[in-house]
Amino acid sequence: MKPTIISSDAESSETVSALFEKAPVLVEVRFPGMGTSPDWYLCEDEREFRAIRERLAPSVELHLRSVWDLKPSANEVTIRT
Amino acid sequence: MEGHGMRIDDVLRVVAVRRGKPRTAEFTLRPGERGLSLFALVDLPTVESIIAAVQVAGKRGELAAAVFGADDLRKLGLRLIPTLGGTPDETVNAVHLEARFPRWREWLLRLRGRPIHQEFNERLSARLAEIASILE
Repeated sequence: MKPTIISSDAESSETVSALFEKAPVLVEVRFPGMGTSPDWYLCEDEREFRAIRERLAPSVELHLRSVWDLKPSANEVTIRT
Repeated sequence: MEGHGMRIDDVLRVVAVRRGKPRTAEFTLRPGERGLSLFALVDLPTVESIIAAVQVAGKRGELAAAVFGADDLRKLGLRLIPTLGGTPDETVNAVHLEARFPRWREWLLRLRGRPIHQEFNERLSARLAEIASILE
């Protein structure tokens, strides 16, 4: 399975909702070009994820994976805004 | 070390510190990354404004600056390459750098099928955590 890469809010809403059907979801927040390491969150539901996303700058990159499938890149959703 | 039109003696990375020492994980590359993201330690922007820019982007935790001598990074086989930063503060982005392997070493790694991040993390991350000086 290839990772899904999405960029617009409209697309991400549907894709992220589908991923949360297999919650909990491990969220890695990367800060590209910001001289720091990623933050990690374990989200039980989509609302928790939305709350995290709201306080992030547009330039961060999010990598989401269901904890039931943590193989590298398998079923990973990447959100670049 | 030259970059951004000025001599750079020291560089910094924004890290979360527990018990006075940063974790090795603060100095690792993620898959697809080519170099460790850093900032030049200069008078302006200040360290405080660099840390503030990272916090504004959403980085959580109590943050500090882990400082390295540019020469120390060179001794580890790294090059400092000026690249555009990604924070919400343009003045901070202007002093962004990446510590990368030289190109010849990147090519060798590609030939061997070894990802850059794997080589970097296994050979350098723990050492970087050891030699970092923390400015709090």
